[in-house]
Amino acid sequence: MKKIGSLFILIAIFNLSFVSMSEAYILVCESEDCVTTINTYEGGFNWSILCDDGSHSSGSSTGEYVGSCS
Amino acid sequence: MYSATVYVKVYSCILIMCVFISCSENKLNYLSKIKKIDEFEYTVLNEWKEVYKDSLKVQSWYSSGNDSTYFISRLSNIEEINEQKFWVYDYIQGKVFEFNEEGLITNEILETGKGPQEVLKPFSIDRYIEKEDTLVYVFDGGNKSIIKLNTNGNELGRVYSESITERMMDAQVEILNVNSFIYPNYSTEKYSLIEFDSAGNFKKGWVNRLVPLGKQPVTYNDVAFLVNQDQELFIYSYQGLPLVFVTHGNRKFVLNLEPKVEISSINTPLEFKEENEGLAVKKLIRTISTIDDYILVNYLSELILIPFDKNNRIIRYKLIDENGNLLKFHFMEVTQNYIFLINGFKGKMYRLKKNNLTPS
Repeated sequence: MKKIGSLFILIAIFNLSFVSMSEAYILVCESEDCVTTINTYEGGFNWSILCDDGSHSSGSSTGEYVGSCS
Repeated sequence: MYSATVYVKVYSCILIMCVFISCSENKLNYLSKIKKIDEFEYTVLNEWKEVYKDSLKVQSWYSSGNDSTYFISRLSNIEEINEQKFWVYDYIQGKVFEFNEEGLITNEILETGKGPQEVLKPFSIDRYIEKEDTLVYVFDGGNKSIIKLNTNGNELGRVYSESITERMMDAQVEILNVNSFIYPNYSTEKYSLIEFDSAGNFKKGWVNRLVPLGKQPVTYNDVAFLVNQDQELFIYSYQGLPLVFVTHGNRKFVLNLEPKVEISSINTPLEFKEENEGLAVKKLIRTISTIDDYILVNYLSELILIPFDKNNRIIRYKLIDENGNLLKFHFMEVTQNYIFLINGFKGKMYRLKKNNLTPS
């Protein structure tokens, strides 16, 4: 995944459990068929994944990011 | 030798058992995990007069990247302020933009920041008419604030609310009056949808949590809903399930849009896991609204018009874009005059007039 426009490309790996900074940003999927909005907050993060096929999923966790378009 | 009466009794028992087993098999397993579902009459689509399939052409209204002055990072929803003005929030940049009737961005209403005329993580814009004044409320998770503006975009004030949190993203808000707002909550034990006062104090629980506090998949608690106090109407759906719960005066029913399908075959299984396990939930029902005597449900990339009266027909619409392709979209917003369909992946908005959907 790559982040649009930025600083946090290094932390834009699948496991986001170490992200503690409160911010929201967008990741483009490796296959480029989706975008994920990651929102970090104190105590965890949530995400919303929008796919080229029209599907939309979301999750919230203190652990790993598991969004996908499958 | 057994008498004919005995054979009749045995066959009767077998028949009754078969009917019982058959009924049990039709009861979908996941339904038993939904609290209070038994308070609603269980219904399916073919109980209505007819399920009619139709298609509608929609026109592109906005496409990101066509504007050299303004850029929207994340397109998710829109509010019609009046016939000439439409406002859109950008959750990523922390901005609110104004569009004109032609779908062009004309202004930045709120910029990024913590001060007046500024937002950090806007997640909803809602228009509300108080007496004769039209007010616009912007909900900002980053500043934990409810910001009140006039239709010219001037901030009239803001209140800090503990129940507006940074976690809110794509959260729907309904305004009942200037001191009553309904929106999701992620930290209370019993409810996932709550009515709060303007300071964030609990007033009333509207929808029970589906997944208990501290368990996954937590986004099964996300709810799409509609409240119309004049019509004594409250409609809601857990967005990951194909169920529409309707309370209309004394009548209560739940409509299953996929009555033959277990949830595990179309979405993440509704099995409770530990909190640190990351699980995503597909949003099957994105938005609920009403048009005249019909409930409008955005189910995946389809619009379904459901009449309150079962003697009328249900209409399922596929949407076709200007190139003749099946339209795929992620968000729907019903405003005073229009239905907006938004593809957040491509950064495109489509628009059709509400009366295009009104059955003749």
